[in-house]
Amino acid sequence: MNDLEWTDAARSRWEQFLDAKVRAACLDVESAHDLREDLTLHFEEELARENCQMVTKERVHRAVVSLGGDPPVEKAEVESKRKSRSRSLASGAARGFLIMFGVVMPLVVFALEFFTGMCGSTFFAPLGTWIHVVLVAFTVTSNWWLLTKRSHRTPLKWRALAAGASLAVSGFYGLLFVPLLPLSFLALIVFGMGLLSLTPVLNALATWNIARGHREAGNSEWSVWWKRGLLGGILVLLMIESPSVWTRVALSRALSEKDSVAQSGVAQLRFFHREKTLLRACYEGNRGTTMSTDISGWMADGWQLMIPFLWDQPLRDFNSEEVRFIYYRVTGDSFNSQRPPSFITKSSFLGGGRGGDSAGVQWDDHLGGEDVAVRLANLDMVESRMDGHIDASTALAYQEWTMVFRNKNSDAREARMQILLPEDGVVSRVTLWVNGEPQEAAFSSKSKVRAAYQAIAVRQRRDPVLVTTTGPGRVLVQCFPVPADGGEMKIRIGMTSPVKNGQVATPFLLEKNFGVASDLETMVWMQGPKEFSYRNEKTSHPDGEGQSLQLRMPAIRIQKEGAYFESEQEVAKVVWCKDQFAKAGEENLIRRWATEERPSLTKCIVVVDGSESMRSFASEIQKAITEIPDFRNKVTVVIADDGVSQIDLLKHRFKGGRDNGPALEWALTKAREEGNSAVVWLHGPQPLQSNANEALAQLLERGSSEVPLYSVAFKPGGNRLLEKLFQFRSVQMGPRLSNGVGDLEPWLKDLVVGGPEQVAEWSRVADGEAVEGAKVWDQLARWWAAEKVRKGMRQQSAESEAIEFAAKYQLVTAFSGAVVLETAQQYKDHGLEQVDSSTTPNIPASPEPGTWLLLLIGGVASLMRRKRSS
Amino acid sequence: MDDFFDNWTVQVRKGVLELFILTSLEKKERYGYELVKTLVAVPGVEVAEGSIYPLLSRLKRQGFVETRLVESESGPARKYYSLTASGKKKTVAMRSYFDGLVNGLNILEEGESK
Repeated sequence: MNDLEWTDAARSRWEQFLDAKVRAACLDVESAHDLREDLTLHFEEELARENCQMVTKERVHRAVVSLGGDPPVEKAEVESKRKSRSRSLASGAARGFLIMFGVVMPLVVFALEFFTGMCGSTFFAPLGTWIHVVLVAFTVTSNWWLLTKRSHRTPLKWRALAAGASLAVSGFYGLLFVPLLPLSFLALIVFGMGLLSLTPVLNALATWNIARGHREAGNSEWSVWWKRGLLGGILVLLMIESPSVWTRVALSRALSEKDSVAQSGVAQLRFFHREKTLLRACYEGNRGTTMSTDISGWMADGWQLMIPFLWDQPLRDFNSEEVRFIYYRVTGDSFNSQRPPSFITKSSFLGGGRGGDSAGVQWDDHLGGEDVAVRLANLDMVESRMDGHIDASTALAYQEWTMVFRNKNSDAREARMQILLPEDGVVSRVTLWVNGEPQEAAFSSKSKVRAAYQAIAVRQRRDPVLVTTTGPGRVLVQCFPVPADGGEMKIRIGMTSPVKNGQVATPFLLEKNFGVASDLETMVWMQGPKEFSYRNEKTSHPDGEGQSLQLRMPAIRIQKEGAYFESEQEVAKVVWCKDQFAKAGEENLIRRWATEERPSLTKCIVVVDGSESMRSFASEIQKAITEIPDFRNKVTVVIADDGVSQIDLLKHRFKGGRDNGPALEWALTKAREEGNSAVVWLHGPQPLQSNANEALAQLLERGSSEVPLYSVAFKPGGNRLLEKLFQFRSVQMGPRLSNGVGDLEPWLKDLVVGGPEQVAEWSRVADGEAVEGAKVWDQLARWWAAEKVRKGMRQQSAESEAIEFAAKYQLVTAFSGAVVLETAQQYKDHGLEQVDSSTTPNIPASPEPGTWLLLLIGGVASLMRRKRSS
Repeated sequence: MDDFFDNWTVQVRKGVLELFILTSLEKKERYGYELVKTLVAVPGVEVAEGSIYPLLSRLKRQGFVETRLVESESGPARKYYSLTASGKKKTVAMRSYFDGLVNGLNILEEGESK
């Protein structure tokens, strides 16, 4: 029968007949539909019996006659029509409502939200993921379909299923927008705009009524399938939202002021959480961003914003720092080590973009502060270059890291990062390009350079860069403003560091608030007088009299693993350099190596961070410890799991993020009791403030003996504990692990067992006096100064003399920092003195073996002096 | 006189139409137009679509009839009506009442003739 072909005229005549029948009978919508279907089927069956293929107007006419002909339009009918006109009007209005709020307005609101993120940037993101987009699109489509006549040709069960499912979704969204009703009515009255936020609620009502239009009371088939659709829709919503809601509920418990509830909340999150939701919560609230929440956040507490008069707390005001703390406690990772969460719609109703994503309305309250803090979208490192000189004969290296940042946001941004320096390294040069010209830094007290930075950067929004120390071998670099709309900022950090056991590590990023593209390569140029290699992978090439190597370092090497160069060149026994900053009569600085016997430790207490981030290293750590001779007596291993645990390392369940403070406090106390002991702290990121801070500071500051505390970072990330303790000289940097965890074993063995050790002995003579040994580069003098500062006082303090000393040698130390400003006037206004570019350290222009040449020169000079004296 | 009779027949038909529909569904389920044709064939029951369809809807709402869709070879599914248990009880009761009325008429007639 599907082969039947109707002429247009036949179809028109048939429809005319049916319309007349319906009109004459004054039927309601459902009865009219039944009558039409019955008559049409009856006619089509008749045609089938005749084997009719083509339905013509004449055939229709005959059918009409056989069915009693066109019903006459009688007076009574006209009268009835008049009476039913009001009913029709009401029915038309109802249908209009269904079309308007079942299809048209939801479609408008859906499109508006999808393309502008209007609600998402103001209240919450109703279309946070593609699944939400599909669900809402399904509801609109289903309503539209159910309102068409065509849908009646589809089997009842499909219509019932669609109606049930769309009611589940629209009902859910309707409920989400209920808290906005007061605001919607107000906005409707005042601005005429509240209809948008009213639409989801009205859509739920319309969807319900559309379903009712199809419902057949007493028909169990409809009821069964409609319920199945409804249940299916609810199940899908539960599957999508339950993990997020669970996370939000557990998070609110974890934030409780009651300890038992808070601990239970953290345990709940450790048992299960949705990473994306937890990360999003870190960006909501009052610390750093205005990122709006998602559906689960709105359900949890965001809706309270809309009905402030019902609540004591009129604003959603939770401390996002606390949420970030919870994030670490649960995951063992810093929140800013992850890419910031984003919604699928990028733009914003306000034109600038959603807070946290790109952000006209976003602010960064860490600007000029001392935290790396929130990751900013569209702020990226776009160029990276390292140049260095490794001179193993002087056991010193100098590396410069040049970085370019680009900001695609609509307003200026501050790039912040923590850099892990080469082992025992020190920042000795900071440069900023202003209008294409390199500008050198001024070195002064931390407070002074920070004050200048804040005044110039934050208030005047001009170009400074600031470098301060945040831990042993860790510096915080801040530069602002990286200009908006694709603007760039270029800086360079110079680092002086020792070459230890022939190796020097490259610096890398511990923490950052900008993005680094995974395909960004760092162009590395390393040179030196003698052959050297890169990670045992590439070897340098002859370059004139020296050696050089250029390579492309992948992004992972500046973010996660680090890298190192190795030279087998022997260390010269005696070297000297001209110290340009020394007072008269002491211009020549001489270093001699002496061998001292370092005694074996009585006890080495190894504190292992019990956080998730250390899980994968447990067996390697265990192996490194068991390799130490007499390790059972010499080494005590404790696990920092918010307290002190001495269970077998391999049996410990590394989970979440742990406060290492109490374990360190226990270890320092124990080491002090034992005497001649050290504490080795093996840790991942530690982005939380510990309650043990002051106790630790006291243990490091007081008492007759100093216990060395070595920090060995296994994973990049901020360390708030080190930031509080690094001013104590006993807090030192352990191995950088640039070559992997395998580096731990020899270092640990060497530390515990002791043995002969090379110690530098320094002396000075006046310029012109006979000096033995080879003259080398002035990095020697900077290194001497850095060591003097580091080993100087037990607790490094910002005494003016010490600050002057560090500033004179252009060093970033525990109490001195570097700042680059834009103009000479700015330096003057802040009592700072920009360093003379002729005094800054430099990569030697060529990798020629200065030592060899200078040895020769030195030898000749010595001979001449002898000749003169004779 | 004719007008009076016409009006009276309309009223009677109107009164008993539900009973006729329910009775016609007692033995088998039927679709709407089939019901119209069946009832039109009954002498004296001059019924139109305009009466049957709304009445079927009402009876369904009242729970006396139920519907089910039966796939049709020649087009969309067709809606068939059948009596519910409650509809069956109601039909028996209505029929009994109606028979009582007819019986009453007979008794009256017989009494007059005596």
